[in-house]
Amino acid sequence: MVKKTTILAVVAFIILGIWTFFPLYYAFITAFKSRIEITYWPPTFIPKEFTVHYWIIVWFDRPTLAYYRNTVIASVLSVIISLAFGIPTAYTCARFNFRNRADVLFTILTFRFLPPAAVVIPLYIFMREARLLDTPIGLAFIYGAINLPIVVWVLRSYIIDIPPELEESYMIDGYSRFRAFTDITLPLIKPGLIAVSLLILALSWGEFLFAAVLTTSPMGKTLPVGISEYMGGEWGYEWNKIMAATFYGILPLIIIFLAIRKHLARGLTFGIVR
Amino acid sequence: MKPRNLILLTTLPTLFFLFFWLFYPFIYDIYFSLFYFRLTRPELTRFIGASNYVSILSDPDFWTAAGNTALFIVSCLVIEFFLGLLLALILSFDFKGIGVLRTLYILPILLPPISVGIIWRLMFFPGMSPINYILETLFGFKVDWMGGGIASYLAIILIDAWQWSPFIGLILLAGLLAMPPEPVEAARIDGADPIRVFFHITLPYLKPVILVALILRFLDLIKIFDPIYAIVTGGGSVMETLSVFIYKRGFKVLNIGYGAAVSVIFWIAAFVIANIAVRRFKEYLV
Repeated sequence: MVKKTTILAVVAFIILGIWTFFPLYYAFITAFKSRIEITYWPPTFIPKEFTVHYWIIVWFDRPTLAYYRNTVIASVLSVIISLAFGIPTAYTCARFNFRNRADVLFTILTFRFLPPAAVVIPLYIFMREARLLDTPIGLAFIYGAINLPIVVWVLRSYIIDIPPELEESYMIDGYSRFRAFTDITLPLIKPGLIAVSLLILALSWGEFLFAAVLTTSPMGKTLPVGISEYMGGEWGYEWNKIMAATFYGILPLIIIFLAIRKHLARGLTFGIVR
Repeated sequence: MKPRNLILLTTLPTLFFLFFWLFYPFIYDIYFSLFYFRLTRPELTRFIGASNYVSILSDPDFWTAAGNTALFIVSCLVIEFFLGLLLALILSFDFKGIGVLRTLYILPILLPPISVGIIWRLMFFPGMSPINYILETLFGFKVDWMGGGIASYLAIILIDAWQWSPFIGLILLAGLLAMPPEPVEAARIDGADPIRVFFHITLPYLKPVILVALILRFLDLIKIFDPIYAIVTGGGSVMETLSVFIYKRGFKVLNIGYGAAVSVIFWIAAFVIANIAVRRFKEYLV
């Protein structure tokens, strides 16, 4: 009986593993196939000739470094912006019980669910007037805004977990509320702070619709937009190049993922699931 | 500082920032939507009142896009719920090394949706699709995944389910692991079989967590864009959702006035739905 369950579990894990990793595996090895091999039928599941040639071609064919620069600037800046606005709000919403608190929190959360497509046209005109089109700075503000609700809700849930008595006794010793927050609470919520920052970084990193509309010049694009362009046009069928480009965009995220995996459920559910 | 001032000082800037970037554009959408306005021909811009709205509401493509959006929301929710539940149950096994597996199997969540779309585009690409090869070898038929029609619809759901079933699974797993073991053990001692235990004890216990997962997923599905963009790029208007519709009408055709009018309708619908759904959370919070 025990043995039967074990076999069933092993089979389930294997099927699950194939379902999750076969597409990633196949996409990854395609990046190492030669130009002729990608057209083989039946397709090869292990490259016959293994070449890094196309990784190099892709890197120099497009301004890949500029894509990285834009993506890094936009996502790092968006983390700073949303933390700057989000931490104070999270703090007071966790510590004070004011009359409109629920309204404030739910209004903030509602903004998280607005479709980018519904606001992107005026933002395009605005960015053009503000000369922020094609700049990662413009994107950073938008990403900062769409990720702000995550910061407020998730950090609030971490701050609530810290007993307010710790701050209060520190304040009795003569320190200000601000000092009590920076000296006592902030170090205690550090894991949550790091996790939520990396989560936002990852979400901004992969955002596509805003970036596709608001960046148009070759040097202004972010990684997801630059990569998506390999799909059509002159490279339409060169899947080895397309996949090399795709993995240039994905690999940094896998590292982020490994760092925050334990906080992911809490971060993605706005702190509702702990 | 008085608490009142501190509260104002910490909440107003956040609200203002959000309103500036996400509400103010909506006001502008309303304004633009009343004009004939093409970015390529600014000299032709003129006030046309509600004409854009009239032509949208009488445009069958708009209704198809709205219908497709609803169809994808429902199909994806159903499939992702069952796959997610299955994933959570499998990952709730407890043995040495399960932590690593739990981590690995939820990896798709954090990948950029557009990259996931591109990877699956390769999996489905005519003439080189490894999925078709497997289907042909095992069952003797091939499918035209990217030709529009029902196969494309299935392909898009499959892509979304691949990326987001682990999201629902992750939330349900958190719920399962937080569940006290006593009721299940007691029922097992009383002789209840595992299936009855699951339906009468585990599932009711998970209900709030399931609701949270489904509401969050539902709100994200309203704006579904990337998998469709990846599969139908270069194709016709089949399988357009509202997000894709605005993107194509507003930017590919550069008809800003028309696109803005669709945006207004979409914004209001999304805001109202999100507001109702988000308030459902109230009972799960303090």
